[in-house]
Amino acid sequence: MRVTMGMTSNTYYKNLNKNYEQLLRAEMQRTTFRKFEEASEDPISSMKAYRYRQEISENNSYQSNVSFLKDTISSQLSAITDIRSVTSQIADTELNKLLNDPMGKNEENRQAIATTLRSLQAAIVAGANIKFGGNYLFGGAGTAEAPFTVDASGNLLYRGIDVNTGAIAAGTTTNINGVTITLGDKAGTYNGYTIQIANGIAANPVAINNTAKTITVTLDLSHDPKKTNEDLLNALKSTTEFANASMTGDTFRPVTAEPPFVDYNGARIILGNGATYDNYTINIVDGGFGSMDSISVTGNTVTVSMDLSNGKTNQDLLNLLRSTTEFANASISGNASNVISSATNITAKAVMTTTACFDNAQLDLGDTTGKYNGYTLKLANGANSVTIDDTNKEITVSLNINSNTTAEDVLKVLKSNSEFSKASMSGNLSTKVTDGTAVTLTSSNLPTSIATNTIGQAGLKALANEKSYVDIGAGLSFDADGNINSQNVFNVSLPGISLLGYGTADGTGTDMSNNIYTLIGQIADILESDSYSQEKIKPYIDQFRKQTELLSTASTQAGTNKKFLETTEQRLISIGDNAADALDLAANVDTVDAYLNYMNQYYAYQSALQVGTKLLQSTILDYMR
Amino acid sequence: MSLSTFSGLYIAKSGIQASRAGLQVTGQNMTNVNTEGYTRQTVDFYSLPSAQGNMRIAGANLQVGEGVICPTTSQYRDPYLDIRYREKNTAAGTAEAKMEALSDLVNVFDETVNKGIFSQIGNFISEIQTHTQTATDSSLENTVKTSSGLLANAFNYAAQKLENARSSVENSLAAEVTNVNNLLKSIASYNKQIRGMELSGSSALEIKDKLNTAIDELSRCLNIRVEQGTEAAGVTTVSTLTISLVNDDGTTQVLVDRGNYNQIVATQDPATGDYAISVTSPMSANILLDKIASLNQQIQTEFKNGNTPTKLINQRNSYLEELKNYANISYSSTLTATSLASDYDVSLVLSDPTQTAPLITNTLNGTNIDVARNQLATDIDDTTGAVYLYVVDPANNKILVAADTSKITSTHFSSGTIGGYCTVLNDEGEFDGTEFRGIGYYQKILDKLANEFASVMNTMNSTSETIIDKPLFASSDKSGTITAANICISDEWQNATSAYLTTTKTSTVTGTSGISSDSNNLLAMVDALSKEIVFTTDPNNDSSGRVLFKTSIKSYMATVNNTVLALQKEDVQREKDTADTELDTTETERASVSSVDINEEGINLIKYNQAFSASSRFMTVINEMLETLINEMGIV
Repeated sequence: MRVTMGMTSNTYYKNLNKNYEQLLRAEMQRTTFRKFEEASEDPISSMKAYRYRQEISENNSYQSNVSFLKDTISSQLSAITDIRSVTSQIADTELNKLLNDPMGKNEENRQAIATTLRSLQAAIVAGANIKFGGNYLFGGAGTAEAPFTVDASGNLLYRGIDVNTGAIAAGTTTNINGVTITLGDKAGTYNGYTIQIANGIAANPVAINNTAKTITVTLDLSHDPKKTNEDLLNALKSTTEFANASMTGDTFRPVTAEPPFVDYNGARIILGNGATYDNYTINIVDGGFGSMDSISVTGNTVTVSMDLSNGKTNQDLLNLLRSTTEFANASISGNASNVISSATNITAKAVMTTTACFDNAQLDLGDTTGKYNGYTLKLANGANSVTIDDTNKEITVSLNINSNTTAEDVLKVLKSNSEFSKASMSGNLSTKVTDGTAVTLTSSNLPTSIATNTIGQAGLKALANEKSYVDIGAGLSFDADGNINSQNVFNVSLPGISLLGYGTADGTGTDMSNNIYTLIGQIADILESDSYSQEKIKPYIDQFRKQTELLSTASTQAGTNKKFLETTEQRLISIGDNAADALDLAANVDTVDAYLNYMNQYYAYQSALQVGTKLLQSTILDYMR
Repeated sequence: MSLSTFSGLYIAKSGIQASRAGLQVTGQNMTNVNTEGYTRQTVDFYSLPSAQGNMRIAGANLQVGEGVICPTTSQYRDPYLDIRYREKNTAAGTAEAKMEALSDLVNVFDETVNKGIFSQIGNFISEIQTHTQTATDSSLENTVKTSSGLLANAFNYAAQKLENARSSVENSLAAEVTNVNNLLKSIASYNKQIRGMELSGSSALEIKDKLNTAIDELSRCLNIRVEQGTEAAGVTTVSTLTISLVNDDGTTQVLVDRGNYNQIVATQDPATGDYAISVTSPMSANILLDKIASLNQQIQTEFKNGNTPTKLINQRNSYLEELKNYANISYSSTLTATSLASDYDVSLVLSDPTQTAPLITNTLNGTNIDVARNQLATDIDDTTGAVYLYVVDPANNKILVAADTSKITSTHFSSGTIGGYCTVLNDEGEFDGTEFRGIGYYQKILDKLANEFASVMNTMNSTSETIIDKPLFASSDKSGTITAANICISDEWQNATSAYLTTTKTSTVTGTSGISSDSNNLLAMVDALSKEIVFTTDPNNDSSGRVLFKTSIKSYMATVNNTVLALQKEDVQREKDTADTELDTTETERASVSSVDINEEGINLIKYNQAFSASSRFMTVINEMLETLINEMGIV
C-alpha cells in the first residue's frame, strides 16, 4: 500500500487526539474518582449505583426515624418512671400509713394524707402531660395538645373526654366528613340529632327538626368554588343555636356528592364533579358516514352525534363531552378503547338514594336517582296505598294507623309500590308512628352523622388503643383492604389513658374508677368523709395497687421497645455502611488505580508527541542538494 | 536510412517539454499537498512512434520514434473507493445526527453528576417519612410542600430541556436542508462547467475535485447513488453525472442530472408534528420542456417540407402528458393564421386556479415560427417550508404561479444526517411502534411519570373513593391533563394555611380534639410510590398498550436512564464508532491512491529534473553533431 505523508500525519493526528482525550479522561478520573461520567459509559454499574444511592437515601430516612423513636421511647420511659415514683410514694408511704392504722382514728392524720394525695394527683397529671420535641408523649393520636386536663368539678379529661364516663366535655359533638364539629351547646340539647348535608339553595341554610331530630345544612354544591367543611361550619355558626360551634380536623376537605356516572360499553363515564348533572340522558346518535361530530345539551338531554362508521371509541365520546363547558370535567374509567357500535340512550345516575328519618328509624327509599330529594313523606290513616304528588313534592303513605302501627308497617306499604320496591329501613323499626307524621326526604349520598355528647366506654377503649406508625425499614406493606401490616412498622403512640386507666370497675361510669388519678381522688374523698372505715377504703386501695400495674407493664414494654430500636439502629447503620461501600465499588475507581492510569496516559501522550516529531519532520527534500 | 537531419532536435524538444510538464505537475501536486479534496495528478506520457512507419512492408529502414508527447493530465482516483467512502459517510452521518440528540437527552435524564428528578422524588419520599414522625406538625408538611414544589420545577425544567433539544434538532434539520440544496445547486453548476471545459478539450481536473468534495459532503446528509458516464457531444465525448436519492425501500429519485437539479424540502405534518422530506421537481419538468420545444421546432420543419411527422407529434404529446406529473400544466393546440399545418403550434401554459404563465409560446415570424420557452423554478421558504413555483423567462424575470406543494414527491429514508434528524424527531419507539426511541419517546416517558406521580399522589390524598377532592398537584395551564411541562402544586394546597395533606383516612374517635398524629395515609403514599407497576404506552397503563418496563415511581428515572437511554446511547455510540472507523479506513485507502506524498514528489522533482537535464544534454549533443555536420564537414 502506498503511504503518503498526508496519511501519516492524519493518522498520527487522529491517534494523538485519541490519546489526549484519554489523558483528559484519566485526569478527570484522578480528580473526581468517578468510574463513569454518564450512564452510557457503564450502564450496569450505573444501575447499581442508582440502586445503592436510593437505598442509602431510604436508609437515612429509616435511621432518622429510628433515632427519633429511640429518643421518644426514652422520654416515655423516664416520664413513666417519674409517674411510678409518685404512685409508689402513694402506695408505699401514704396508703401504708392507712393500712397500719386499722381504726383510722386520727382524723387529722387522715386529713393530712388526703391533702398529700391531692397534691400528688397534680404531680401525676403533670407527669402525663410531658412534652418531647414539641409533641405530648401520651396524647395517643393527638399529640399537639396537652392530653390531660382537669375540669371545674375536678374530673380528669383525656383530650376533652371524661376518663371515667366517656362524656365529651365540650358538649354535643359529631364527626362528619373528616372533621369533628362541636356544636357548642353546653347543655347537650342536640345529643342524638342527625347532622345531614343537603344540596341546594335555602334562605336559612340550617334547618333544625326537633321531631325528627335532624339538623339539615343546605349548601349549594353544584358550583365552584367547591364547598368545604369550613363552609359547613360557617353555616352552622350563622344560627343562634350553634353560634359557638367549632371544628377541628380536615377543614379543607370539600363537601361532595358522588358525581353522576353512567356505565356504558365497558367503561364508566363520570359526568363531572357535584350532583349537578344527575339524571341527564346521553343520546348517542349515529350521524352517518362522513358527518361531523357534534354535541348539544337541551334540558336534561345531551345529544352526541358521531360518525359511528369509522370506529368511534368511548374515548372519542369522552373527548366530545369534555369539549362542552358543562362536562369539561368529565372523566372515564374502564376500557376507553371499546368501539361504540350503535346509537344508544343512556342515563347518568348519581350514587344517591333518598332517605327520611322517623323517630328512631332511618328510611331509605331505594331510588337510585335521588329523585325524591326534598319530597315530604306523609302518613295518613286509610287503606294501604302510596300516592306520589310531584307538583307538591309529597309522597303520602296511607295505612291503618293505630297505637300499634310501627315504622316497619310504613315500610311494607311503601315497598308494595313498584317505585319504592328497593326501599329499606335501619335503626329501630318498631318505632311507633302517628297519623299525619310528615318527614322531609333528603338525598343521602351526602355525609350525615349523629351528634353525641358521650363516647361511652367503647369510645374510651378505642382511644386507649390508638396507634401511630412509623416506618423503620422493616418492610412497610399494606394488605388487600388497604390496612397497614402493623407488625412491619413501629407504633409510637402511647395513649395516656392506657397508662393511667379509664372507665370504672363496673363499667357504669359512676362507681370505683379504673383511673389512677380519679382513684386517688376517690380515696382522698373517703378519707375526708366522716363515715371513713378501713373496709370502705380497702377495695379502693386494692384497685389502686392493681391499676398501677399498668404503669409497670408500660414501663417494661417501653424498655423492650428501646432495646428493639437499638438493635434496629445497629442493623440499619450496618446496612447503610454496606450500601455506601457497594456504591463506592460501583461508581468510583480505586485511588491508586486512578493515579496509575493517569500516569500511564501521561507517559503514553508524552511518547506519542516524541514519536510524532521524529516521524513528521524529515522528508527526502531535507536530503536533496 | 532516412532520418531527417533535424529530427533529433524535435525529440530533444519533446523531451524537454515533457519533463517541464512533469516538473510543473509535480509543483502543482506539491503546492496542493494540503488542499482539501485535491487529487494527485500525473502527466500522461506517450512515446511518439516513427512517422515513417509502414504497416504493410517491413522496411529495412531504421525506425526511430519521434520523442514523447504528453497530451493530457489525469488524476489518480479509484471510483470504487469513492462509492465505499460515500456509503460509510452516510452511515456516519446517520449516527452523528442521532448522537447529537441523544447527548442532549442524557443531560435531562442522567443523574450521575447532577441531581434531577430521581433525586428529588427520593427527597420527597424522605420528607414524607420525616412527616410520619409527627403528623400533627404542619411545619413538617411545609417541608413536604417545598419538596413537591422543587419536584414540580424539576419536571418543568426537564420538559423545557427536552423541548429545547427538539428545537435544536429542528434547527439542525433546517440548516442541513439548506446545505443540501446549496450543494445540489453547486454540483449542477460544476457539472455545467466541466461539460464546458471538456468540450474545449480541457480535463477540468480541479473542478472535478471540487465536484467530488461536494458529493462527499452530500453523501453525509443523504443516502445517494452517483452514476458517472460519458456521452457524445459533437465530435468529442463528455462525462455525465447523475445523483439520485435512495429511499429505504430502494426506490430512487433524481436529485442532479448533468446541469439540472432538484431541491429537497422538509415539511411538518400539522396533525402529527412529524417531519417529511420531499423532492421538488422543476428539473424533470425543465428537461421535458426542452424536449418539447425542440420537437416543436422539428415538427415545424417537417411540415414546411410537406411531411406529416406523426411520430414526432405523438412523441411530443407523450412528453406533454408526462409534464403533468410535475406541475399543473394545461396545453392547447390552436390554429394560428399561418399557411403551415396546425399541429406543431402548441402553446403551453402553467396554471393554478388563480394565475397562468406561459411556458412555451409560438410566435409567427414571417413564415417561420419562433418557439420561445421559459423555465420552471421552485423556491422554498426556509421558515414555513412552503414551496413556490415560478416561471422564469429568458430575461430572468420570475412569475409566481402557485404555492404548489402538490407536485412534490415525498420520500422516505432514514439515513444520512437528514434521515437521522427526521428519525430523532419523528420516531417515538414503543409509543408509535417504531424501532428508534427519538425525542418524542422521552417526552412521552417524562410526561407519563409526571402524570402517574400526580395521579397517585392526588388519589392518595383524596378522601373520596370516586373523585379527586383534595388534589396536591394540578396542571398550571388548567388543561386537565398533567404533563411534565405543566405539573405544579394545586392552588388548594398552595393556599392552604394549615394541614392539607391527608395524614390518615381512618376517622378519629368522636369528640377528641386536635389533628390526628396517625400517619397511615402518609405511609400508604410512600408505599404507593415504591410499588412496582408495569408501565405501558396506554395512558392508564392497561394492557392495550405496548409494555414499556416494570418499575416503581421512585425508581422510574433510574430505569429509564440506565436500562433505556444509556443502552440506546451506548448502542448509537457503537454504531457511530464503527461508522467513523470504517470511514477512516476508507479515507486512508482513498488517500493511499489520491493524496500527494512529498517524498514521492521530491523524487519526481529529481526524476523530471534529471530527465530535463538529459533531454537538454541530448539537445547539446545533437547541436554539437549538427555543428560538426554543418560547420566542420568538408573543411580541411
